[in-house]
Amino acid sequence: MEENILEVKNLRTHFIGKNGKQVRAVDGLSYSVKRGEFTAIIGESGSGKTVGALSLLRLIPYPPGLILGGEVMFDGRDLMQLSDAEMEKLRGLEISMIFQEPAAALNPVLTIGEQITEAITTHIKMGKQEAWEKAIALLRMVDIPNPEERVKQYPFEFSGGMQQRAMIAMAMSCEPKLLICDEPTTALDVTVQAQVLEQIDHLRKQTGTTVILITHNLGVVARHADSVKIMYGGKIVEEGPTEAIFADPHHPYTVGLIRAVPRLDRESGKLFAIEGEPPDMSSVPVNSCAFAARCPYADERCTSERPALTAVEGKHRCACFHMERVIETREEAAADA
Amino acid sequence: MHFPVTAGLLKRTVGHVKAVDGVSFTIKRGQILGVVGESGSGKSTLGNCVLGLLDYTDGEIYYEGQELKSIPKKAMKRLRNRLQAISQDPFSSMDPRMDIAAIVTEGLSIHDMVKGKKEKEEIAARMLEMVGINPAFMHRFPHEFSGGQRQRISIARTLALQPNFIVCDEIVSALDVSIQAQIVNLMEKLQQELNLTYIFIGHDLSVVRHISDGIAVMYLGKIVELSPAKELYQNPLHPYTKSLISAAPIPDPAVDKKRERILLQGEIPSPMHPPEGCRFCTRCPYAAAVCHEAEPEFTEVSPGHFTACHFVDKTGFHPGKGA
Repeated sequence: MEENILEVKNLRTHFIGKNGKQVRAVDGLSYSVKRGEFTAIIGESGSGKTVGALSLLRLIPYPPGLILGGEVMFDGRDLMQLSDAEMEKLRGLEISMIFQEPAAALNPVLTIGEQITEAITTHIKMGKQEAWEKAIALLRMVDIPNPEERVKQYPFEFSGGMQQRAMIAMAMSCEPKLLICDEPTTALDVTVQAQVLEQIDHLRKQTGTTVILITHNLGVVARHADSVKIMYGGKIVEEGPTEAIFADPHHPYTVGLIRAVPRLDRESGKLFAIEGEPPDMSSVPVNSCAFAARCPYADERCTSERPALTAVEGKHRCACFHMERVIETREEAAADA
Repeated sequence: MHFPVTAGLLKRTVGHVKAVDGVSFTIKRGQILGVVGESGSGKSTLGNCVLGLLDYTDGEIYYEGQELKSIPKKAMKRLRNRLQAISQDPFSSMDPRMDIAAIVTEGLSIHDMVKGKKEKEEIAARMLEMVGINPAFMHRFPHEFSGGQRQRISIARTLALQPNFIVCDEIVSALDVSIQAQIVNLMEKLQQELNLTYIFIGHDLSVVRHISDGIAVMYLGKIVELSPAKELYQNPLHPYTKSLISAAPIPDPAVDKKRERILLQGEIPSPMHPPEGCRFCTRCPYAAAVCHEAEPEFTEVSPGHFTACHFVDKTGFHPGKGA
């Protein structure tokens, strides 16, 4: 289980904005994911979490976007070196992705069954009848009631939660080694969100598929993820086992994020608000910590040198020059509360 | 509040959606009532009714002792500035060709509250200052601001009318976590400084619990539970409230992994064809025969804590009783 299925090294994806400015959406992203693990990537809008995932699959539209460099080692191959045809074969077969808006990802004029069988027969040699049977089995696997009838229906006949289940069924149809879920439940109601996430977790345990969950919801991460990566300004600022990150956050952004969310189980007092706005990655200097402009600990070093991820304890790593002070202040604040 | 459902070329009415059905509650001055529920539960319709924006089908709404429908149109217009709303997406409610000073003070002209241009700019500056926007930016346009800043501008616009009652409909749902905290803190500060009364509508139970004094849980147009905010988490009575609380993960793995999980089956049914009996019976893990036949009454279980469930009495929740 200790083997890495995915190793991303210094991935850089930039976009050219309308005003000609270069936006460094993903700016030196490096991380690894163990086989069979449930990893969460947390970040706010513009942190590069979605662009990072799309870059793995080389799905960045050019222009305006361009993957400038980096290495993506997936199961022994560098995805950046594959031909377009090889990449095409790999998507959906070895790496699948599901998105936030299932309604936008499904084709409205094809039945659910037609879409799932298409996903299967594109990658696997299988007769039409057999693929249809498999589509029904997949829908049953994701708990869609009455799958024999449902498979003949069109997406509009499915509710939002069922559409997302159908997407999961499609993504899992070729038993991929890696499933990337980009905010899969953001558009769903709370009780349906819980159902869909349980479903993903359950399938992972059954099939051994590795899951990367991209989200902004800290609660979802606490509940499901084995490990967490926090993205800010196009790179990872802190990562580690979920328990360690929540119990002992080291980066001022992580600390702020955890304290900004009110708790259901107790009084939260005044919420901690991180001042300012997320950075504009076309104007942050290259040699600067992207969080410096909002950080209460920032000094000259933070704006002239980019902190690298350094080990805190075991697999817990953080990119900040002022970790000791962050922890001191955090502990003082906890003592006051 | 019932909406007619129309079909075909002639728009014949084919049915009615009971978007809000038999809901009763009171709010004291200076209090915040949170309303939570899933999409289609009727929470926004409830907010619009309370503001007198919808001509409700049946029932009464009293604002400062006056029934809204009994107020003549002209008097209602004068009252309108006191009853205000803030919505989820401020950008869609701002004229892109007006600068934010004009946006913030437009309501003042409509209500003939202020006439002079200079005076208006003074008010705009004061309001923007209050919500944390630099008044020097008052001649910029909405597109020049971020989502969080636009929400602040929209709050400034509301405050300019000097309301005492504001319906906040999902005002932080579209914002990032760090910005959400800024806006929640701002709303709390304003409430205290100006002694405002809010109905705070949301789907994120933790945010609603954080800001509210009392919480109403809605399901398919009905309030299924109404409780003081603190009590709702400690002692939820209705099975739907329990599942809603269970579905909301707590951002602390050490706590969350130990919690009881109730996974509901299925999704909220169409409000056009609500189930007979208790509206929650199709998804309730405890539903018995009686739940499919009779609608449970909304009763006070302990002071200020109401619920509508056949299996709840003064001693708590007893599933299976009378089944």
